[in-house]
Amino acid sequence: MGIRPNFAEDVYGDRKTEESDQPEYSESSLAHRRSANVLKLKQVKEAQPLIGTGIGPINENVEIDKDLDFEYGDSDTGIKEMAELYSYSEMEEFALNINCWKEYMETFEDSINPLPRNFEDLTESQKDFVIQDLCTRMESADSGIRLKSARNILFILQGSVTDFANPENEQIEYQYDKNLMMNVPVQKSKELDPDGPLQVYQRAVKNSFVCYRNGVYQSLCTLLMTEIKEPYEFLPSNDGRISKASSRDSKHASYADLSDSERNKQGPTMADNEMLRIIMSSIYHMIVQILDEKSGRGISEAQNIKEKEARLLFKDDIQEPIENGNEPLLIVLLNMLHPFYIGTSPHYPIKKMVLLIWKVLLLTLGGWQDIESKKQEKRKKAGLEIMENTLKVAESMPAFILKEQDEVKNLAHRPGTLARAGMMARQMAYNDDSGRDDDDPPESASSSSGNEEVDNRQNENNDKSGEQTPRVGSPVPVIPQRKILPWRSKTTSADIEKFIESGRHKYFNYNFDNSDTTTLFGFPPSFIGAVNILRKNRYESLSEKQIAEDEELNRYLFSRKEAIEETKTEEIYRKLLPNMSQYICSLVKVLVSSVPSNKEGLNVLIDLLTPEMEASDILSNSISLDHSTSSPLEDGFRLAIDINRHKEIIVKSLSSILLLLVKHFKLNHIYQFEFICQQIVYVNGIPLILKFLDQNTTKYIQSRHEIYAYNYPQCLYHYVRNGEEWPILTQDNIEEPRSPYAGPYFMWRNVFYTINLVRLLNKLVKGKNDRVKMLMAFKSAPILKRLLKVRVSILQLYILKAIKMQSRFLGRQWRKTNMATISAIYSRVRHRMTDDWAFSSDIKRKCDYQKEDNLIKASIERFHSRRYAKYYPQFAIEVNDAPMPGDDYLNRVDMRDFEPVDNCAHSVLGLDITLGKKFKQNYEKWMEQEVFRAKINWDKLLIETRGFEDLLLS
Amino acid sequence: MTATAERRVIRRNGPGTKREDWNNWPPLAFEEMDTALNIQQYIQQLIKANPSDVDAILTPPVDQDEGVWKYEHLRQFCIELNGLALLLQRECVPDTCQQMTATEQWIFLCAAHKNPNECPAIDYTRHTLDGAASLLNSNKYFPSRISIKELSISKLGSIARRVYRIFSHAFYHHKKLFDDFENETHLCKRFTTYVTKYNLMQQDHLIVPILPSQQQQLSAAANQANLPNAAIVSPQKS
Repeated sequence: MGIRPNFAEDVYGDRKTEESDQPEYSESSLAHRRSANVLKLKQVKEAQPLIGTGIGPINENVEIDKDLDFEYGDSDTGIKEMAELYSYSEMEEFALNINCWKEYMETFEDSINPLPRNFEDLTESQKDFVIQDLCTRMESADSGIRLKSARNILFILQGSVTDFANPENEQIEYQYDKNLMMNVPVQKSKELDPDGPLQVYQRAVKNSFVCYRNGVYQSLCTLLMTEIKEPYEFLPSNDGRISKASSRDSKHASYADLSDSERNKQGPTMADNEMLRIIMSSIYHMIVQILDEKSGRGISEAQNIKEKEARLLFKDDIQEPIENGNEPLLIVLLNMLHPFYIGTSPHYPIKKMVLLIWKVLLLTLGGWQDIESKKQEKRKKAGLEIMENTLKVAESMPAFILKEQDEVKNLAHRPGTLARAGMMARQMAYNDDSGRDDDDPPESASSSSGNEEVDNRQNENNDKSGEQTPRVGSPVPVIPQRKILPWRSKTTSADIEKFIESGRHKYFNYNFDNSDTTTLFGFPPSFIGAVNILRKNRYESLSEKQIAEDEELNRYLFSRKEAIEETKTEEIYRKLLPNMSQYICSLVKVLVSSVPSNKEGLNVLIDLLTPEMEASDILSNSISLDHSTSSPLEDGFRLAIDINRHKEIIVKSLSSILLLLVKHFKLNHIYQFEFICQQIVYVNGIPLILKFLDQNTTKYIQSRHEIYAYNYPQCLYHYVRNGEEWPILTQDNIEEPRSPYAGPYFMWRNVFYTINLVRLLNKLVKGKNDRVKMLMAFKSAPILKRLLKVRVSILQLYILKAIKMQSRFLGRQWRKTNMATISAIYSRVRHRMTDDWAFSSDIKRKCDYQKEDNLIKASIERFHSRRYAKYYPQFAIEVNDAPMPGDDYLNRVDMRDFEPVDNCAHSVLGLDITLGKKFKQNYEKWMEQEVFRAKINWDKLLIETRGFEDLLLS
Repeated sequence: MTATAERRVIRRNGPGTKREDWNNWPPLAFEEMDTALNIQQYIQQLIKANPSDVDAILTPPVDQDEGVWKYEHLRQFCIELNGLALLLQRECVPDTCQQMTATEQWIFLCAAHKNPNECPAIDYTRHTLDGAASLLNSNKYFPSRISIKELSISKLGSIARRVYRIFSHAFYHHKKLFDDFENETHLCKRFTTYVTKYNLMQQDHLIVPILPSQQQQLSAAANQANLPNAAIVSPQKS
């Protein structure tokens, strides 16, 4: 159960009532070690009296039985997004920033007009001066100066925390010490204002506007370009770099000393990307803070208008190519992925990269709401009716609760309890909904955990029957039963056509050659009524329109001119296109490397590992997390949390990046969407997504990989308020304070990425039988079904959709045992009128899926060739290279046949013809043999050909 | 039309123009300038009339859009700075001035490259002027010379900052050349007044003491600290 299950039990009461799922330890030994630490944490916990145990848990339990209070948005709140930027290893660097600032401000002390120490106390023009001065310094050729000024900029963007420090004289108070028999100075631990961190953040927002005004963004980009080109030095015994590092600051000198001997075997660490991290953090600060409209600062109306303007300007600015480069920031960042992936620049701080890419994409293309409104707009323009907003409807539904009975029933199917008969066996593979034990891929399952679980289950039953006093449940809010389904039903033209065809076949045993869907001649009235209803519910998607249009454009090259709407998505697609597969491949590879128990692949922990920690050791999983006997709250524990948190954040950003791209491309043009989907599928995206979903869900959704006190504004605030001491972890500050009525605990980012991944899965698979089959091959049904336990209606909707798509392949047996799921699909997912997902069984049907895939591929190639060959000649295809099945002459028109032929003697003779090597070598010989040696009797030739000349002249 | 006595003065330097006729046409009142590039024409006319009258040159006509005014001036500075660059070319060679420095504490990276790097001073000068020219003429940021986008105006500051380094380099390393150029054109003085007036650069960064106020400050600081230049250049402690 992650890091602190037992501890959490104390605080939140009995978990078993909270979750139907049992705590379960993951199989990796790292996790076991972590859980070993957890016990120690519990001991600490027990050593101290618990306060308010009498009241707390009961309240908890009353409130716990409800849906997760989860709001699915584009991102979390600004302050939390900021906190996720930093890993806990970077905390020390906050102090470096503060020192840099102090050092910098000291330089003004002996000038004629000394500046006040605190950034906030400067006048506006002094602020401008300081920031411009720092920008100038960032252009210096001395990397040390650049580093320090970048730190200063980061310090300002972090909210110039020293402004919040106490005046110095207040910090020390005297206390009588009995042993020493005298008063000793004691650092007074200051009252921490609970709103302090928020104030820091709000100050940071304010400062970022000042920074933007002074052109910090462009300076940072220029600096980023400077630093990107710095090569990663593989040679370990380079004194140059270490001395460079030590000249930067004393802290790093000690890193270098410590690690000097071990350097040989180490991969890149935090020390290698110090500058990059600072720059990227600063840019990230600016993006999040300037665009955060809900920072809750009390500002005047005029200020507000000004900020709005600045915000819009900033948004435009980010999308522009950066100064002196041809590419916007997004492309610069994406181009950093490949060197990272192939290992030429393994030191790039990957987490910050993906976070930045995500944010830039989000602000360029827009989030979920924007997609929805753009879609509606587009549909309106195309004269199509507007359907429900999926997210809104899904959000308004209460989550459904998977019935316990299903669980019980499935206990019977466990190995040993029921002997499976041969034919049944295959069905069984799908019908075990909680089948994490017997049906999971073998590497993640062990039989012992299965037994354990059964035991737990029995224990639970015991608990319920006797030991616990029954508590009065809160009245379950009566949700009025809906009389109607939440969605309007849909049919497509193809469905209608098929329906009529099968009707004709049934009644007349006759098919029209060219399918005719208009005439209903001779059909009985009931059939005509059915067709009318189908027609009434016909839904034409934008994609269908686009496909039809594309076909026309390919066919009538001369008469049809393509109007490409210049949207932002189009612009980005054009820029991404030449390297799309590279980008997707790198992104997916990073995603693979972020699987919690994964130790192979890329090292994604670079922005977290300090040189003291041996990267190789952590990756090889032999880190000794047990050695910290003194305090389990210390390093090893922190590191384990940090690593998990780091990976979760990467996954969160990546899932969002991929989904944003897919959704926006879908809206823009269907073939752009198909192209990116193919790229994802080709790099094994589907099994990867399933692998992520196939974890202990509840543990994942409720992971506690977060140390509240160490998060960004809090720890900085604490640092300056308490005489430059970092917060000491106690059980009180380790978690964000939550009100006892706050409902069940969950980790926002994990729920968020789970939803994203399921949505992505749906997008990849929908309407493509071969990919649905893939879902079957990877046994996704039990995985998905387990996820249904998470009580978030949006998540459930997308899961049900995914199950519905494959239900026809799951077979009757599965449906029989999963009636609850089937009825949930019925009541929650949109119906397609002629789709008999609930009853048909296609297990054995074979279909030529290859053909389907190739067809799409050919269409994409044509689309690219037509639209983008003028930008990237490599996309031009020979028309005959990609014959479309069922093509006729018109589809094979080659534009080059219509190019005018050059028959002017002057220009033909004027052509520069390059002669081949063979020709050059042999032409003398040829001349000799064919011309000089050949004896031609010219007179005779003239006489013999005399007649021709006359003939021509006459 | 009646006001202009001479009919149809062609304000162009045609091919084969003699030296004494170069740019030699009678001044025209601003209201009379009916071309799209009237601001530039007006500024150049003022400069030609008296380059030392910095204030007059920098005083915009009434109702003049400030963004355009700033833009056109910066353009003009870049044009005229080419003259300084040309002079510098003679004696500022990569062998003597390997880096772009003014006072010894500062060496600058040349930001005109995709990945900024260190260039010799003369290359820095050329690159920066080229970069400034292409930015000021870029269709993207400055599509119109009649109205200028807010976003683009913010670019002027960084151009000014980089261009100024050419002055400071010339002043600290090629003093004689700088003085000759300055006596003739008063460009640095005008530039300093310009950036101060429109707050494009902060006082402390203007390290060439060219305005009377700056010179006073310098001498005051020298008296105070007995160290020349100490206050003007924010000292950088290593």
